[in-house]
Amino acid sequence: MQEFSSSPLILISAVFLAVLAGSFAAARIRLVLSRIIRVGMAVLLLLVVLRPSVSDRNASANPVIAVMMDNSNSMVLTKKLREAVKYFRQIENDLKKNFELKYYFFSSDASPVKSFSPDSSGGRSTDISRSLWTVRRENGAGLAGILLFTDGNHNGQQPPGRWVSDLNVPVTVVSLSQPSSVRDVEVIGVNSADFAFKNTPLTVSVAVRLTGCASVPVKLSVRSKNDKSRIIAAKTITADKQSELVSVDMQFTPEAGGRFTYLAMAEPVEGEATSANNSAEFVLDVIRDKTRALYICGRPGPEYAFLRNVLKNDANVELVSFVILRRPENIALVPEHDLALIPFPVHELFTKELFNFDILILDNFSYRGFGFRDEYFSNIAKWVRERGGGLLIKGGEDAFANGGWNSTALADIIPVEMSDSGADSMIYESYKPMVADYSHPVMLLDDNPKKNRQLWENLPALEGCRVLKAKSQASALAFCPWRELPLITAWQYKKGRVAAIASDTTWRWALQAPTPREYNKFWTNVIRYLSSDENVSGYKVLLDKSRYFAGQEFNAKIYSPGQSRPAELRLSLTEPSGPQRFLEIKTGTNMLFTAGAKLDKAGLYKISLYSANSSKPLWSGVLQAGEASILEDSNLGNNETMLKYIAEVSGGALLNQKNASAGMLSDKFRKGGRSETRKKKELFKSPLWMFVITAFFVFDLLFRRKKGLL
Amino acid sequence: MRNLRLRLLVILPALLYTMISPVVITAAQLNKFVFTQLRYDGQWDPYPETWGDIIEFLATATSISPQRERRVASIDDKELFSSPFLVILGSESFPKFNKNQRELFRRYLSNGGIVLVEDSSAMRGGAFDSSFRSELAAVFPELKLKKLPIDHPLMRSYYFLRKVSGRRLVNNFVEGIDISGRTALIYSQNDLFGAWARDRMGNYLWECAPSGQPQRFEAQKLTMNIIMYSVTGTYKSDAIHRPFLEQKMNR
Repeated sequence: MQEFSSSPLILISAVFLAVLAGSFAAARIRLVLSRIIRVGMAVLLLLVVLRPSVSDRNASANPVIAVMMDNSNSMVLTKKLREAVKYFRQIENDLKKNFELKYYFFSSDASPVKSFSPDSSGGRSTDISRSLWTVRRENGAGLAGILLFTDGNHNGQQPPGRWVSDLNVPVTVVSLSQPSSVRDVEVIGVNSADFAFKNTPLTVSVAVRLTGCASVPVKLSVRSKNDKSRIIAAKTITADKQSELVSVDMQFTPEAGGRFTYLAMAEPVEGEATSANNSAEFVLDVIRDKTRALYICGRPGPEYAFLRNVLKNDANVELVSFVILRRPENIALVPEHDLALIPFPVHELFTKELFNFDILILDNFSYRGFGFRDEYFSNIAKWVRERGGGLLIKGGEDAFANGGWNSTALADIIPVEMSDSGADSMIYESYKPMVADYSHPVMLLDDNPKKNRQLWENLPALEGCRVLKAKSQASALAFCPWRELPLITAWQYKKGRVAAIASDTTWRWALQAPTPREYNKFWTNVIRYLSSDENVSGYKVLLDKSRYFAGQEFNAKIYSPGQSRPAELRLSLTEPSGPQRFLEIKTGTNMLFTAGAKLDKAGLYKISLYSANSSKPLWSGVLQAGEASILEDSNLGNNETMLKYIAEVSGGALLNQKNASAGMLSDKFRKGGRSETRKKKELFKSPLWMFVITAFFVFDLLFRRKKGLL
Repeated sequence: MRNLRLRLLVILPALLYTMISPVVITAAQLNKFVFTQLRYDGQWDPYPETWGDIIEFLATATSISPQRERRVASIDDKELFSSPFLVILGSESFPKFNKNQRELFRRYLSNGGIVLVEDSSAMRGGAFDSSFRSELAAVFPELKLKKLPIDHPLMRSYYFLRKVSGRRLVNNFVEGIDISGRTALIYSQNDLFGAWARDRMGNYLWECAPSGQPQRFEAQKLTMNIIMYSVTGTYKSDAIHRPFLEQKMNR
């Protein structure tokens, strides 16, 4: 049945045009002709604008059910499509007795087909929500039901949720059996803590689904994503049954601190349907259980006492310290056994133990008189350069060139130039440091830039400063205002970090200040900087997932220890192709703010958190968005939870292929449902009509000019 | 005679060390140890000359670099906060601090300062003892003086000490108040400084009772240990020292 459907405006327009035409009847012929052209032009214009259409509505005699067959890759690879089509053909004729069937293949969307072919090629994604709604739109609400054949591995952008409940059509889902001939190893996921301790064994549980692999040894391994060739942990497992879900504990020891992406991988077995699902990523924040600090001081004094107390009270620092209590020139006055002194184990420290430490502090220390060998200096330099050790040289009368360090292998790695003469000059005056870089992690006494500056300005004065010169590539963070001598200097040297502090009177920042908070904060900053703890600012951006796919949104929580307002922070997202954009940061609670964005493209994105007034990031990290199609091949099992959910929410049922007969299926659909298929054809949609209108316009213009009507 | 030998043993090397020391002697304090004594209304300085011997002993026997002059400061004095080590001596009643002074004293100890308090009367329940305890309770109502155990780090910060000493053995312990993991205030009633006091001829002023010279030397060693503790903190309680120290102790 066909019917003309259009807006009431068309009727009004037609009456108006008829009246207009009537008024021209008595006019002269040429005027009439001209007006006919104009009226025709106006009518056509109206029709193009209002777009009247003709609907072809077909109402079926029997209740209609739409049969939707998932032909995505996950169905094809596992041969479930073939099995599903085979099963459907067995029940098809019985269903046809009571229902009119409409056939749809679907993957990213549904499209009608005349019949199901078991050899249909696989789609690269599965969007159940979208496909269901396409079918619903084409058939109206009168559908008796939808019969859905799918493995439930939806990877479309919208989760079925509301999309299914709003269908108002019962969806009966058939859970498909895995064909026995399919062999597949699927690493489903990895259960691990969000963080691990450096140099401490960690166990992760790898969930593996083995299909058709009974008695076949499967080699599992854990590898770093950046170096897949290096196996960190390995295990071989064998399934007893044809299909088995196993959890495998894998143990390994993270050796470096930072955020790392690991892969739990299964080696492909012979005849495996796909190897795209043989690995799963997981991300670990490897943190130090404690920063191990070796503090060597050449002479006891207030600086040692105060700094030692800070380090000793820091729960994140494991301190081993040696302070030289007696020098060769000192006289014992008592027998040796009455002195509570221990030998300074130079050889053990600088040949073996050094490599177990994260930080070495040489405070007002001269190596002379302790049997130092060149080997020890080389070891310290190697430890910094290759092992990422953090070295601090500081202070006093025996530091720097006065301690002989200018003529050792350490001279190259220390960020200041020392005197060649063997003794640096000294400034003895009191002074307030001149800060050159307030935003450096070492110098952040407070996260609020204004308050940070105030705190530095209010710190008590120091006394004395070694005359040194900052090396060109080092950062002089603060100066002694007398001759602008570098007071605090730092740099990254290969894998390690080195800092130099040209005074040994920072204890005044504790004793003379209203509280020792700033003193403690400064030294905590120094320790974190030297131990290459990237999160030295205390800020953290926590991502909601460990992996993303193109088209997905990421959401991040921003931990701001300074309780800054969102306006004081900026979060940028640098896309794989280069452009950087700043994201809106929303107010959160408990020092947490939130931000998010859609990851349009696949690739590596960089996220950086800045304070409003600085271009140096407080926190930086990366996230990777994989190709969406990877999802399709990476999950070949049935998502029973999804299948059950769709059935329950839509008011349908979940049946198992093994025992679902046509009769059972028929009972699940509406008995009186009538489908109305609407095919709508717009009459004036073609651009050709615009061409006709234009032609009329030109003709009218020429005609009127020729007849002198203009 | 034994006194003279000991004095020569201490003073001559100290003089020699001073002459040949490569350290530039400057007026600047820098990171040096400064012997600072509290001045207050009353008998604040019963032994005005002892600091010199203590400094000499310190420079001779240890690697501590001391300022070679005594600093005297009142509780309101800004200089007090340039002196991480403060000595309070007294044999008579200790005056009460006003509110501001109590706050300053509290801040000094809380920010890292270390105070050695000595009841020079060497009497149990003397005027100084009761008045000072009372004042301390007003400054730190939440903290109490506690007996320091014999294995406290100050008993081994430089010399091995198996017992406390002084001019008189009023107590066989010293007391202390702990703040932020360190003993910030050390209180002795055994008149440690009395064991150092000399007359103008260089002779010791007081006999040490009951054990005489050995007791004096033990008192002097305890003084050294307290000073060493002020510049090294709990260093000697570190795990790395324990096996060595226990081995030595058991000899």
